[in-house]
Order: sequence, then C-alpha cells, then structure tokens
Amino acid sequence: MTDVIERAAVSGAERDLMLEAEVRDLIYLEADILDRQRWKEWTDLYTEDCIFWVPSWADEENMIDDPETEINTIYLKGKAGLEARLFRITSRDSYASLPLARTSHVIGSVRITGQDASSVQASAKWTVLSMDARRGKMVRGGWYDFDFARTEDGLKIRQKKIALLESMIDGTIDIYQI
Amino acid sequence: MAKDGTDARPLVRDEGGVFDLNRSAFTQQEIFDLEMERIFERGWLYLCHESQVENEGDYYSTQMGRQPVYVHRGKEGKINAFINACAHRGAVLTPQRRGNARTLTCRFHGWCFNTEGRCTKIKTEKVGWPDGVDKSKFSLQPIAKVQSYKGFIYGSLTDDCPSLEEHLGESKVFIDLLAEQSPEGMEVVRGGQTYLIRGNWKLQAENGVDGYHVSTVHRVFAGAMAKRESMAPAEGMAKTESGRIAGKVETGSYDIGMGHMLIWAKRSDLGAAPLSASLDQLRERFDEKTIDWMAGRGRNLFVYPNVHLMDQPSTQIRVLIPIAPDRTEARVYCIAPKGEPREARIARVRKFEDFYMVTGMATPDDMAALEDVQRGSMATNMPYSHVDRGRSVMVEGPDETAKELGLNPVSSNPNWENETLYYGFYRRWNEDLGGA
Repeated sequence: MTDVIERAAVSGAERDLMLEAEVRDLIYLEADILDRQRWKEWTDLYTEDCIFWVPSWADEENMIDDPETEINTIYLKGKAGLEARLFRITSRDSYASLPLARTSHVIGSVRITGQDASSVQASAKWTVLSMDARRGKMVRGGWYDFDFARTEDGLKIRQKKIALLESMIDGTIDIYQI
Repeated sequence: MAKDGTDARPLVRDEGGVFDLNRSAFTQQEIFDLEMERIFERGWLYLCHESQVENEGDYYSTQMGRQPVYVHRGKEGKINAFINACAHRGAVLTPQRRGNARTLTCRFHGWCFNTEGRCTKIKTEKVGWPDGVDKSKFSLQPIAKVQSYKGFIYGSLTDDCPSLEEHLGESKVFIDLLAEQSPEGMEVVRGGQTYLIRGNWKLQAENGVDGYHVSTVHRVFAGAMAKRESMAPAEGMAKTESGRIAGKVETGSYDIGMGHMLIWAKRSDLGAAPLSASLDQLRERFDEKTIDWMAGRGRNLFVYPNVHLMDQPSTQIRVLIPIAPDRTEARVYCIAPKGEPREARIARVRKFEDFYMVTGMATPDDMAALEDVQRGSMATNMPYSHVDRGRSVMVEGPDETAKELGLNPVSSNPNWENETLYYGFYRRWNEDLGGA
C-alpha cells in the first residue's frame, strides 16, 4: 500500500516536471519561430478559437479590464486574426514591415499557475531585443499569461495575454516584436 | 539659418500658380522654436474631451507648446486650466495624466491648490511667515482662454486671439457631424495609445488628411482584411470596407480656412459604417442630407494646429504634441456615441485597433512613410516639395457638394487624392510664423 502511494506520488511529481518541460518548450518554441521568422509554423501552435491579447494601459498603473468594449493594444480572435497579421508581415507591401526588424526573445520565470483535465495556465517574463531599420536597437519587455488547451497533439495556445510595459510606444510594434 | 542658403528660404513659394514647400520646415530647430512661440503658445489648441474630465476634481494633463498644462473640472461643471507648475518651486502638480483631486497637493513641499487654482494651504505657513501671508499671490497661472465646443475643450495661452467660434470657423460643420451622433453625447472609450513619431508634427497633420497615400500605403491593409474575412466572415459593422481603400468611391477635399483641412469619402457599404446600427435614432433627429454626411461618408478633419477628428472605419481623436523638429507625441483615443448598441461599440473598438494604432495594421505603415519623409527632408540639395496635384480642378470657394452641406470652404477639390487642401494649412502656418 505504502509502495503504491509512493509510486503514485513520484509519478505525480514526474508528471509535473514533464508538464513544466512541455510548457517551457512550447513557449520557447514559439519565440524561436518568431525570431527565425518561420511564419508558416506559428499559427500551428494555436487553437482555432485562440486569442492573442495585448491590453492597453487605462492609466499609468492599470491596464484595461474588458477587451471586448475597451481599447486594446492588440486583440486578435481566432486564427484568422493571426493570419491577417502574417499576410501583412510577409506581403513585402507593408511600409513598416520592409525591412522586417530582427528580434531575439529572451524568456524566463516560467511558472505553471493552474491546470485541470483540459487546460494548463502558465506565466512568464519576456524581453525582446529588436533591431529596427529606422530606430536601431529597441528593448521591450513585459509578462506573458498563457492558457493552453490539452489536445491529442499536445498543448496548444488558446490564449496569449501580453503585458507590454511601455506606455509611450517608440516605433511600430507587431506580433513578433513582443 | 544655414550659411549656404540652400536649406531655408523661402519656406513657401506661393505665386504664379506655383505652391512649393521647403522641407527645411520639418527639420530646422529655429523654425520649430518659432512654431512653439507663435503657434502652440499663442492661439487656440485642442486640449481634451469633456468626457475625460467628467466629474468635479477630474484633471487631464497635457502640453501647450513647451508649457505643461492641465485641465481641471471645478464646481458646477466649470472647466478650468492652468500652467502645470506649483506656484512655489515649479514642480508639476499632476501625478498622472488623468486623475481626480478636488485639491491638488504638491508632492514636493505640500502646498495645496483647489480647482480654481487658488493656493488653499501652505505647509507650516506660520514658521515661514509668522505674521501670515497673502496666499492669493500664490495662485496658479491660469490658461488665458479655456472653452469647450460641443464637448471638445480648447485653450489658448494668450488672449489676443479670435473667439473660439471664429477660430473653429467652418470646421464646426464637421465637428458637429461627430459631436451630435448620439442624443446622449459622446465619450472617450477607456484605453488608448500614446506613441512617439520620429517625424515633424506637420507631416502627421498632412498624413491624417492625405487621401492620396491610401491606395498605396493601405493596400496591404485591405489585403489583410480580405484574408481575415475569407477565413472568418464578418457581418454588419464588423465587416471591413475595402472599397474606399481601392479608390472606388466618390471623394473630395476642402481647404476650410483658418488652416483647417478636411477629406471625405463615400462609404462603399453603409452596413459597415460605425453608425449603421444607429440609423433609426439618427432619422428621428436629422434630415437625410445630414445623415448622408454623418453616417454615409467617412471624414478626416484636421483642426489647426494640433488635432485630427476622424470618422472613417472607426472614430478617433488624435492629438499631436510637438517635442522637437523630428519628434512628435501622438495621443490617440476612440470617441464613441454614448449608449450605442454593444455590438456597434465592439465593432468600433476592434476597427480602431486594426487601423488607428501604431500596433495595428495601418498606422504603422503611415508612420514609417512619414518618417521616411522626415529622413528625406535632410536632403537640402533638393529642398522643395511641389504641391501641385489637382490644382487645375480645384474650385475656389464651395463646389456643389459643399453647397449642399451648407459649407463655405476657401477651396474645394472633387478628389481626396488632390493636394490643394494643404494650401490653407501652410498659408496659415507661414502667416503665423510671420511670413518667414
């Protein structure tokens, strides 16, 4: 009996470690895909009903609360929203996206903040170094809050909420620069 | 000015059917300093919307030229505005851009000021002035003129300017078309964006009423929206109107006097208009002609010298704060009819995010283009922009469309791709600078 309990506890801890590794790997994979501009692979990481959300600052200390009726910095719903961004980025017809900035995401402090049978939540901190043709070196930072769906193909991003710390935005910002 | 004489004078060549603008106007510190002194620190500037200072004690801080200022809602709805510097040692009084305080307490030495700008308390007053002191000499410096027109608050640092009504002139026709969209009034939607343009404020002023760039710079926006809607069809107001971007609609532009400018374009799909869900309400209050302009035509208005009021895919207040010849702060807010249907509000704010934000899919391309003009303006070996396009079809005074609207512009042009509306802007600007 004791054996069974201990084995269950160990495998539970192992499961947690495996989940943590899977979450970290997915977050890092997305960042790497964006940095290497492997655009076609990006939307595969998301569910069909995904949300990509960057709230705006309602004032110096608070972000807006209701993404539906208040102004967001970016609010994309469903893969079609992501694909529209990629269309523009890859078109070579977007003035601001020619040339594209070079970016490097550095992500840390990844923590699992919740889970159940169908989903996993995690938070992380990010810094993106962007080399912009018009502005040179730009450093931006903030937090991520992820909601992942457990699917047959492993974890998929159902929601990515990005807190962007900047309040006076210097330059243009697209989905791969945050 | 530069010694070689290639970069500065005249700033405007405006005679004999020629209108040339010297691009030094965008790059020279001396010109910027003159603009601050003679335009932004003298005469009317847009400050904020009344809904941003709705209740007693609400404040909103901004800039008038180089002067930090704030608007403060006083008793009985009175709108006051002051130089934002403590009468004591000059610290800025507002801890945030917006907030509420019936008494603003300076956080440096603790002096207190009420909504009338009167000094109401001096910390340890008796220690410093054992016999007491007349605190009225420590009142804040009020802005010389502060006045609201249909919810839009303007101020002037000097009182040697015409009345606000005279200043706004014909722009009132278009301000009304926005301000009167709801019987309950208009409100600024929570959230917004502030961004830094590495370009001159006049380039942003032009860009906001430049119909000519739409079918090149925003072609990709139309493509991105078509892509999105092919995957996820949108209904009603959520649908994108790409007909205007492709240039398939009737358009026009006006030099409306006093430096104000306007472009308009017929909507290709009234069902996609921001007011499409409010047409019944509008029919109770306005005639068909007014509704045609309010709901059926997109309009971009520039009110000289510092604000755009736009009503195209969504509705926007864009305030320009010049910082340096090549630096401009832009504050963008969504303005919306109070009490509009929830679905309409949702569509309005989504379209605002798509188009009007520097993190969206259109404004970044505008900004990149105008910043390239800023860089190109360093080419003093080729200093002039020729502002000729559409001069031969320009109509002095009102054209037929303007007459129908009861508008009395300085000149009309039957196409928003033409550039004659800039004449009024640059003539006013040149005159303000003293004909430099």
